[in-house]
Amino acid sequence: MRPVNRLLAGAAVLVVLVNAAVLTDVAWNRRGAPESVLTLSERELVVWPNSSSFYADDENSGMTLRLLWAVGAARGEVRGAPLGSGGYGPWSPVPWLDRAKLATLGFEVARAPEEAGAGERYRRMLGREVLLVLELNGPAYAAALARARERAAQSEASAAQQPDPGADTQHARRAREALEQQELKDTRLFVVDAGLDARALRARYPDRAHYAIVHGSVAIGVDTSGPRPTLYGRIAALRCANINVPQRWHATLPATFEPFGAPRAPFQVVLAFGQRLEPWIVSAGGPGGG
Amino acid sequence: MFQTAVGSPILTVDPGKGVDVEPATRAEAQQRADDIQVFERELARLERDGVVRLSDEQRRRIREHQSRALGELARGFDIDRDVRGRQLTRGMRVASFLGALAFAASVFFLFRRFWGLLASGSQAWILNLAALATLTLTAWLQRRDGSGYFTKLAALVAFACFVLNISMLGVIFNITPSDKALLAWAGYALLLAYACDLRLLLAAALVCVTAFVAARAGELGGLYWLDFGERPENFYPAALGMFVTPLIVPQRRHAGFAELYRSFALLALFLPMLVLAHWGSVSYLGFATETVQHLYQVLGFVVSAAAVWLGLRQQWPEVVNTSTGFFVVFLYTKFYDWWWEILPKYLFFLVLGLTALLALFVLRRLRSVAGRNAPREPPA
Repeated sequence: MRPVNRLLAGAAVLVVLVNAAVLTDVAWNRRGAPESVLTLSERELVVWPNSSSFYADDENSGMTLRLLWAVGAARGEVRGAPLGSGGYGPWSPVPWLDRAKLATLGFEVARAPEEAGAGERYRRMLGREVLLVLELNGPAYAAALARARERAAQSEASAAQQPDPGADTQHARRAREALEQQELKDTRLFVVDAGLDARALRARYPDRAHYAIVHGSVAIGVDTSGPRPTLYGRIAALRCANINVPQRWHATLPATFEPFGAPRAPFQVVLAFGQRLEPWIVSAGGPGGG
Repeated sequence: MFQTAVGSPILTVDPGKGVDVEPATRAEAQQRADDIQVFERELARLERDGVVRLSDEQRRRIREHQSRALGELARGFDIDRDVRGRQLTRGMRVASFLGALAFAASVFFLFRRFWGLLASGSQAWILNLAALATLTLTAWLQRRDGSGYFTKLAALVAFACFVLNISMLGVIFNITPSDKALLAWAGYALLLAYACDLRLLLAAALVCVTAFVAARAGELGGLYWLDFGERPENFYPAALGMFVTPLIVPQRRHAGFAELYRSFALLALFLPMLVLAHWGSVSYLGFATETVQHLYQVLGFVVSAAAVWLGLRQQWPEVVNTSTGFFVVFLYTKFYDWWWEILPKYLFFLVLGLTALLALFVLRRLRSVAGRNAPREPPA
């Protein structure tokens, strides 16, 4: 065989082998009983635009769902870039990701953030790949809801005590709207824990219908807005945030991206996570129909 | 017999003989054809100046020999016989590259337009078959296409199909992104580059290899692999690897490959240095940001000057050019830092112009020294 033919034959073998390896990994992920199965609704998933225009893209016939998740605080309690609801997104400080927890995830946090040079060192520190625990409609959501109710009640009481009835009304109205949003529209999917060992995490959260373990990354930040700089952790990314929708489920879901805040069509998706913690859609349909 | 004007014999021409040394690559064949043209022009000058005088018989025998040699070269390789041919070749090269880009984009948008109408299994099969079909087309063209341009076009499309194949499988099955995909793409691009003698695919392979090595270097430092660009020092192992590869594995049969390895090695070395010379906070080094920046500014000058010296010594023009370019960039960015705010603009640009003049004097001096030290024997 000529050397050129040998090289081209090698290329063909490479194509076949790489495809076989990828598909074997997919089969391995979906082998046996799923690692966890979550039943999610339009509160936790949104049809994600496949183009930069954010709306219908005639050139792309595929469909992607985006996971909406929160980090354990009620709307308005944390600073950050909200994505549909409070305490979302990669910039929100996570209450349970304190210094001790960050140390268990492999971050070197021995130096106090107020020490000379420590702030710059922490700002230069990059994120680490970890396993994250997603909790669906559990204690974290209940706590966030309770705090939102408490805030709404406090605002109402404060408004009632004002001599000028119009002064605090706006504040109370905003708190009421936030509560309504949290009760009816915001996600109930919270990132509640992180670790490096999937078995240890599963032992801590054995309910596979409400807790999923996924790949993600955690980053570190320094908050200098207070009197003393403080260290905080944040969820930098969820590796499974975008979920491809197979063709057979397209018709059961909204056709295009629905803007946050606008009324959204109800749907239900059963999402399984396999041995490699990678998700796939088991079923999708109208509410209760999944 | 071919005689000089003073009568000493210097060359015997046997018109019955073909090309004395069989060229292995198109580049070597083109070099031989170019040498013949240069010889013809120089011989005409020598005859006009009376240095050499050929008989009609000698001239005929030389012409026959050269014509036969050119014919054999043209049969074996798609060479350009004259300047016009070379200009057209350049046009074909551009058309081939643009065509490959357009075909690759077309394949991508075709799949994007219709993939949502197919079941996941069909999507996977189509992606795999598209990669294999374009590879088969490349192999088929490789045997029939003497010019190589159609083969190169097909090879580029085959590479694009394989990239689409693996990346879309990741999307379809929600696979966690992995740096191993870079290794597969690099391997495929390398195989096609060496099979089709295609520098563009070698460049693609080197980009993938650089990203993979940088990702692995970043992982050793505790980074998530996709964050490898956050620490520019991750690129240094790849730079070293690319620089030594043509020293360990000779690239004689592939024109321009060794130069490409060295050029990419220098890019992977100097670009991170340039970034770190201005944004020291992204360094692995535990020093203060200012210290890191000063360190890389000094290193930038020293290493680029050393690379110019090495390039001159080893006769690697691409090393000389790339390193000179980066030396100038390091210098001008320093000038900007020092003087842009404090000097009037006319003075700032005057300083730049004077620096360029100084560089010209230095390079002219180096050239004359190199000319004096150049070997006198004719090139092989």
